[in-house]
Amino acid sequence: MKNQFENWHPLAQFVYFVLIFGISVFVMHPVITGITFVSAITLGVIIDRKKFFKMLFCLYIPAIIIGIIINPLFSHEGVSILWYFPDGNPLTLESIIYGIMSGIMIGSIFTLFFSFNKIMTSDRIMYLTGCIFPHISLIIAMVLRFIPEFKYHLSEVLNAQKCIGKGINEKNVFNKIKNACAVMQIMATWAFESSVEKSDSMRARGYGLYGRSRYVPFKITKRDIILITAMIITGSIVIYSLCVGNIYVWYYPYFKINESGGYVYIVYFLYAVMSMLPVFDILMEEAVWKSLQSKI
Amino acid sequence: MHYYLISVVIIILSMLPFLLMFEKRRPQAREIVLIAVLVAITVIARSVFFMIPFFKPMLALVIISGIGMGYETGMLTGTLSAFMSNFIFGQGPWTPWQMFAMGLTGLLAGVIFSKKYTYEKKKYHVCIFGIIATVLIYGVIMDTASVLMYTGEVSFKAFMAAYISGIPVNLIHALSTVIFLALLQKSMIKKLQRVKMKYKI
Repeated sequence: MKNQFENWHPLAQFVYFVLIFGISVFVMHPVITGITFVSAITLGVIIDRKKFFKMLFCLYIPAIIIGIIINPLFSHEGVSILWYFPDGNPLTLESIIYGIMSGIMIGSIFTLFFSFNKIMTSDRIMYLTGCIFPHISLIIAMVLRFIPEFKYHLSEVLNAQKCIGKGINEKNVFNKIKNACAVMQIMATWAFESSVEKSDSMRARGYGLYGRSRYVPFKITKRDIILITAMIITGSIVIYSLCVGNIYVWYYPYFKINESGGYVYIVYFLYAVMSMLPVFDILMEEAVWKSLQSKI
Repeated sequence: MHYYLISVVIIILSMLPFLLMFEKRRPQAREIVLIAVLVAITVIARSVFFMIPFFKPMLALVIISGIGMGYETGMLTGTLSAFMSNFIFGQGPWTPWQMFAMGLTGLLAGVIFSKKYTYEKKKYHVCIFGIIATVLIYGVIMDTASVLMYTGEVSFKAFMAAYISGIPVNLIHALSTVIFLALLQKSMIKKLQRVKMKYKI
């Protein structure tokens, strides 16, 4: 079933991803990074649970572990020395904390990209690029059509080559590459010729004439406008307090974090709400759907 | 992690002028379709050789299109094929870096071999350019990207470690680029130039 986040306008989804990627890459504050991590994992679980857990154990957890290990090995700054490596460099508490935080941040970026790949499908990317680069968006649209077409043609060429004893399933690697290159050349000849035909038929149908518009399959609604303004306002409050210095963190030479207070809690809360917006929307929609179902 | 954010912003800003130049020129239908075909072939080629790890023909095809069609087409083919192939293999923090590295390779190939290409003479030059581009442009950019992705700090040691551990991967990649360039460049560039001449693109 399509979830509610997929029904957002591409612009709203784009604003969400840009803000959350930007803020999570910009600072490595324990609370902010923690919020991003939690919301990224929740979003991934809600969007596609099975695949997410598969990716989590195969890819994300190793990446997090690499991120945690790498920093103490290369960074020897910090005042609290725990141990000395055999080559004389110190292992410091600060570098371990920094490593853990960077591991969590890498994990949250990878998990966010999982949702990004699921949500921002190629048609949405095409729509967004089309706002600024109409011709490049047209190229993207054509490539998306050409890939399945060429794949089909490729399988035909491969079968034909197989019949004359030049298949690519040979044991000899060099022959395999050579035959595959021959197949690619056949493909290229056919593709170039057909491309000219396609472009001629495009011109015959009036491509490039003045006053042509483009097909827009997405409609911006009141909800999307509200979402975009809400996200931009909360995001700019968070970024402002990061730039001004109300929220800061030092890792070197010693670990120091901003003092907590009313204002800081409000900023944390706003960021948490912003990063959880799609999750709230999906869960709310499901709750409404369940409450409307017949109780008989 | 400021370094990662700033470098991605710089990368995007450095790619923008070329894309805007292309937009402003109002390219013809033939040009657009030809670029789309080149990108599609490059993406398909990546998925054909998906079984052999790090054995990617993409850079070779980008170099060929840069030589055959000029630097602008080479740059666009590189950038867009990196972007489009990641729709199949998954987008990630590496996408802008790949786009930049492949676009730069196509651009340089177009600029260096801008004079009328004679395939008997320059075959070895192109192969050498392929090795240099794979190791020094694509390899170094992607290794830098992985350092910036995994560690927020920028230290000499971390970079050296990444470059040294990246050598075997880059060498396999360079080998594959050279093999594909040696096998494909003559016929592919001939085809491209023929299309260019026949249809006046």
